[in-house]
Amino acid sequence: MTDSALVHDDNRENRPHGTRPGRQAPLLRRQGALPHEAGEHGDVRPGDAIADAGSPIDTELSLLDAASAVVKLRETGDAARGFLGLDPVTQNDPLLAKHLSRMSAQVGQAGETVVGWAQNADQPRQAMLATTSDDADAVRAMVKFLATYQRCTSYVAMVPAGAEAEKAFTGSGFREIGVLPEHRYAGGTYHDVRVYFGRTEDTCPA
Amino acid sequence: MPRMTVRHFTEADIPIRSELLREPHFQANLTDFAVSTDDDGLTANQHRTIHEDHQYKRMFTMCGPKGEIVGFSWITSIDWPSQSCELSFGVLPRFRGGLGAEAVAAAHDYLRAELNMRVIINQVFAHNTMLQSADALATSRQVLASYDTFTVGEWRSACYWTLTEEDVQERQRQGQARRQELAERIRARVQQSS
Amino acid sequence: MMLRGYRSADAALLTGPWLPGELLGLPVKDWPALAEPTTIRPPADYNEELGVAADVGFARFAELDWSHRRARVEIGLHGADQAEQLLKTAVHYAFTALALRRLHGWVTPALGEDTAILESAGFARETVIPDVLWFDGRPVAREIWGVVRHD
Repeated sequence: MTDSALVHDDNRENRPHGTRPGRQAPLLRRQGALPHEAGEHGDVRPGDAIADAGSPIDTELSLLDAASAVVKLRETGDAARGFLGLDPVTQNDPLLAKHLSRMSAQVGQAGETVVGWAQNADQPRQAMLATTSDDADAVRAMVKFLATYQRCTSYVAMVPAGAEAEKAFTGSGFREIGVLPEHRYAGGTYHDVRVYFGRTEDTCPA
Repeated sequence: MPRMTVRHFTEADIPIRSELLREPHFQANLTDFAVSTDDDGLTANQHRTIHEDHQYKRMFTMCGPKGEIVGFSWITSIDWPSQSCELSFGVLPRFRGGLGAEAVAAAHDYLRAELNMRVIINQVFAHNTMLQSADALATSRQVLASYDTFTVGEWRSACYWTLTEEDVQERQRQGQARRQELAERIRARVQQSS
Repeated sequence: MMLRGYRSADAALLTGPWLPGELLGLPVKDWPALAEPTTIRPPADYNEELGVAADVGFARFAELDWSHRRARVEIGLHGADQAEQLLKTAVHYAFTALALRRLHGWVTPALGEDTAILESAGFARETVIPDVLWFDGRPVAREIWGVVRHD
């Protein structure tokens, strides 16, 4: 029930461990090129870095507990539609809480804006982000927090096309990496969801 | 500010709806199960719907222009793959006869535009003229089920009909055509008198 | 080919060396000897569906959203020869029996799968997300492929 393709899928029982020696780069069949095609590892591109982890950011980020998170999202109304795949219009408060809990999501407040993230369980140094306004500083504050305290190095956002939140991501250095066509239904019709991606510098490589 | 809005039914609404469930007309018109259910049972029932039964039943609170509670609506028999459900209403006594039709329209709009329901089944007992006149009921019903439900000492016949998207669009078209016809008649009369 | 409900006799079809969540669930080569195979569990609630094609494989619909009319799809087989048919059957089932409008799934380029099957079933690549999965000792990219039903 989420836009997030990064939500931890509980179906997985185990996955392959360990490194395999001598693996050749596979031959890939690809038709056409996407505008921002990343290599197998996701090449770091110039301009990918969002915020220098050391530079000061004015907007303060405070974390919200589970109950407050739902209250705030409810108050935010339409701007929260599509937030980490949620929809306060079709989901009541207990449903919102259930989905946030399932994703182990954390919701916070950056200035006036409600923001949130869910860690990628398949790759813990990546997080799925969401915001509810066009304020780029709110996104920067969230990214700085994640880079500093959760060792995150990459960030993904899935935003309903035309939402204010898109400006917050493009304004803070994210780049659009694709579109999920007609991925959401709201207001009587289907809407696209745009996928955004960004990185921060790995300040403590393993 | 829209005339009628739909929002999710919450814990705070439970006492108001419980009172409505015990109101005599409601019991005759919908169901009288609340007579034989104690207060805690009624509360627990609605609490469970809010917190757990999302797959089977969803409840909504209908609010008027000033945000005041006008009544409640709920959907049951939800068939998610088929995008169909059964819609029921309970309007608070002081608002009956006024905002009824708008409440129905608001609920239908929400179900279609946000929950993506395509077929909405209405069930109204034949004697119930709260939201529809007896004539309107007789015309719109597609099925009449005699001895459908026993409420407050009597067997009730139930009228069932579905409203599809096409029905809603047709109704809008008819409404528009009527308004246009009326406007033209008025124009003709004005021209005659001038 | 038809999808039907799973039974306990289908257990062998629901366990295999597949990368979890992978759309085109073909057996992964060089599966590490000490790693347990992936096991598909029964649907937890009304937001999941699972169908089995007898003696061939399964099709799983996860993250089902009945209002958005979409699901994330994964198939799984032990051999590659019926993959195209199973995928097409899964898409047909989703668009008719479940009346969904959109399917999407994960494709991991690092596996080196042949994506021609996806294209023939109507899928198109929609995005590539870097570093989204830890695989074979490093973070790798994954693609989202999707198909929308047009009536």
